[in-house]
Amino acid sequence: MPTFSRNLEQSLHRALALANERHHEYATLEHLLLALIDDPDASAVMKACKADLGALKRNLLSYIDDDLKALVSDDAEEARPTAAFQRVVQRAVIHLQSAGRAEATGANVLVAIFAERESHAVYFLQDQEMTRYDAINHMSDGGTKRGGDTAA
Amino acid sequence: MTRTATETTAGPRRKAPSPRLGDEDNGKRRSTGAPGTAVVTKTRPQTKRPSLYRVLLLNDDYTPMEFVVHVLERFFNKDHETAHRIMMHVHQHGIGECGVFTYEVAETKVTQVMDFARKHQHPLQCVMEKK
Repeated sequence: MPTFSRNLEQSLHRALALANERHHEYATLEHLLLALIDDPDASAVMKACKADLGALKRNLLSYIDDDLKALVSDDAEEARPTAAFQRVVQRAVIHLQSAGRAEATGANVLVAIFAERESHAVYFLQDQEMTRYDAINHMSDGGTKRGGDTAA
Repeated sequence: MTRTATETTAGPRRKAPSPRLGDEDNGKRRSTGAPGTAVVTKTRPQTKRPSLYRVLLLNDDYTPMEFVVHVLERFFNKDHETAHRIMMHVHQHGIGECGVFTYEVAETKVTQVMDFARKHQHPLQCVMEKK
């Protein structure tokens, strides 16, 4: 099984923390995407796809703080990932396994988000005119495969 | 896995057989429009805001009323009175609405409720429906 890269591990923790600090009962794909903006591997791909990360962040924050108010719960339980969140991470890992790679990065998780239906995270990415095809094209250019910083 | 972009929301707009035709086609088409004009049709990927979904409970003859009330309190943050009212609605009308959520949240709630009911061996059905 592929393992999570150090960056990805931190990003997943950040996604849960974003939900916890707002007392949200779930960590959703929007929390995940917001965390991925600060993930070096995922943000390199988004930048390469010419997404405006500042606008994306603003959209996600206002969605999370306004539209997800219903998720605020009084019991001090830990936020748990939604079914979609778990599926996305699983999809990324299974894909890398079949591609014969040892490590999953934030960029792989970003690509896996696109398969989710009726997702606001996908909507916000589309709003930046970014598609799954753009993302995988930029990833096969090299960059992320070698650790991120070399991406154009 | 990728979704097709055919379901545009724009309704019956102008038919553009293939957007951004190359130059090679210009000669044939010029006769129809004014000379030198071109229509730039940029195909944007469909960016429709995702719909919201209702989460519903369905009536059955075996799940105890108290269990339904408990589910409403536990998974839908209802106070006891509201939970009781929704439960009675399910009981009398066969169906009752627990809340309206995004697809992602609705799906997770449905899974949680179904798992919880199964664990306690009640046949309670929880479903979601596009709003």
